[in-house]
Order: sequence, then structure tokens, then C-alpha cells
Amino acid sequence: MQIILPSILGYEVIARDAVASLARRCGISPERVEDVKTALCEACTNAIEHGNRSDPQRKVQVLCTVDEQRLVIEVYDEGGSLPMLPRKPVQWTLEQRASLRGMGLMLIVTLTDEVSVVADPNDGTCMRLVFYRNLAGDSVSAS
Amino acid sequence: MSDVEGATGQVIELRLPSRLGYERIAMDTAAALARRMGFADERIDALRTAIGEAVTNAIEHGNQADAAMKVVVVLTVRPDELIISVSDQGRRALELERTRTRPHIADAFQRADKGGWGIWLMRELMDEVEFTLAPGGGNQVRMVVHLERSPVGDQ
Repeated sequence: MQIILPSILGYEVIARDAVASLARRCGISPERVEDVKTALCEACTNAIEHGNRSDPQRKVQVLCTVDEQRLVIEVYDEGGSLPMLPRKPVQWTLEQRASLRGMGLMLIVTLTDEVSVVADPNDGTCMRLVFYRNLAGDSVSAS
Repeated sequence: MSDVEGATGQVIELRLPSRLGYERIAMDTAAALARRMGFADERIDALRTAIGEAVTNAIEHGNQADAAMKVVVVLTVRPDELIISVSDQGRRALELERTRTRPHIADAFQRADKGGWGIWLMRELMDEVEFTLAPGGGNQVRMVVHLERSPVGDQ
């Protein structure tokens, strides 16, 4: 599944609701779906503001794939600078921060099971968020 | 993608695999958008039903449930309306004259699948509905819902 958005703040919530709908349907717990939503919103906001510099003509692309173990969400922008991911384990240094900017990436690292950032061949940036599906006691995985 | 549309409204595009169940994602996405545009709850319910029917048709008929084929849902946001276009890749073309007939309740009892009502429903629920065949093959349905400004009841 793929979602393409204009780089306008506010549209990330539409992507968030679409992906939440998918996450719920692939057996991710309601609590974990909230984490998916928060992480995705942060990733989209980054892509809109930093990657695409809020140019409405530039698009943010969200690509979701589901396999038996994982939900993988890739967020692409059309170019700009690579964000710096904090290393795991994340060290919370809230009190030292002058602003909340930059908290987004820490949130993403904390909430996802895996995260990576790569330069995409078309000059943009791709942030890849991975969530493990909860398969314990789940009978529907392998169809 | 299409700069022409970008000039007259913001566009959100959703590409779905042709697998039943994904129509729900389209319904939820369009409902989320319509809610934020200020549509009334009953209009949002109508929209959900119409999109559900359009995407299900595209999956089952247009793309013959071949999961590798895509259903493309384009949502165009304008100040006073929401335009929804649903396209398939046209394994099977829609007979356009059949999109204008009203189904008969008697026929519905004969059908095991309870189908046949989708297009009629879309026409009942949406303000504008138009079916076209893309030149390269593929069916497209374009639906429009107008945003009523006044909260005063107009029934």
C-alpha cells in the first residue's frame, strides 16, 4: 500500500489514519497502534518540513508492506538533508533542550522496533520504520 | 504527480493491492479526511459506503482480484467539495450502459452473492458520479460530495 501526500502540515494525519487502519488489521495491538501513529506522524512531519521544505509541490510518499513478522513503513521525501538519528539506547536529555525540535527523531527511535534512514536513489531520504507483529497466540498469521 | 490538479486542490493518492480488505483502508482514509474538512457524520457514513463499493468493484471486477494489480484512489480536497476517483487496471471493462440501470429487488433474491447494488448505491449517496474508461484500459469512477456550509437542517 502506498500513500502520496502534499508537503503541507496537517496532511500527515491522513497518512497516520490510513496506516493505523492497516496496522489494526494486521494484528498489531491497540496500544502498539498508538506508537505506530506517533512515529509515523513524526516521520511525515520531518519529511514535509525538512526533506521537502514545506513545498506543496513536493510529495511525501509512505510505502507500507506487511509480511508474516513485520509491518514496514517507509517514508520518502524528495530531497534535502539526512536527519541524524540518535543511537539506541536513547538517552533522554529533555531538560537540556531549548526546544522540542529534534524530539521527533528520539520518539521515532524509542517507539519503533527497528529504524533506519537511507538516501533514496532519487536524491531524497527514506526513513524506514519497522514494527513487529504480535504473533503470540495469533492464529491468523500464515495465510 | 499531476500538477494540473495540484493547482485547483490538494491531492492525496492511495495505491492499494487488489485484495479484499484493503477497501477498508480507503474507507478509513477518506473518512478521516472528510471529518477534517468538516463534513457531517451522515455524509461521512455515505462516503464510506460509496468508496467501499467503488474499491470493492475495482478489486473484484476491474482487477479480477489479482493482488499484483493496483487500485488507485485519488482524493482531491477543494474548499467546498471532496472529489474521489477510483481507478483499476481493467482486466475487465465495465459495461457503461449498465451503470445507469436501477437494480430490481426481485433480481436480488435470485443472486447468491447479494451483489449488483454497488453502482446504484454510489449514485444514491454521492452528489455526482461519473464512470469512464481510461484510453489505456481500466475503469474509473469519479465521485463528488459537496460540503454544505450551513449547519441548519435542510431536509
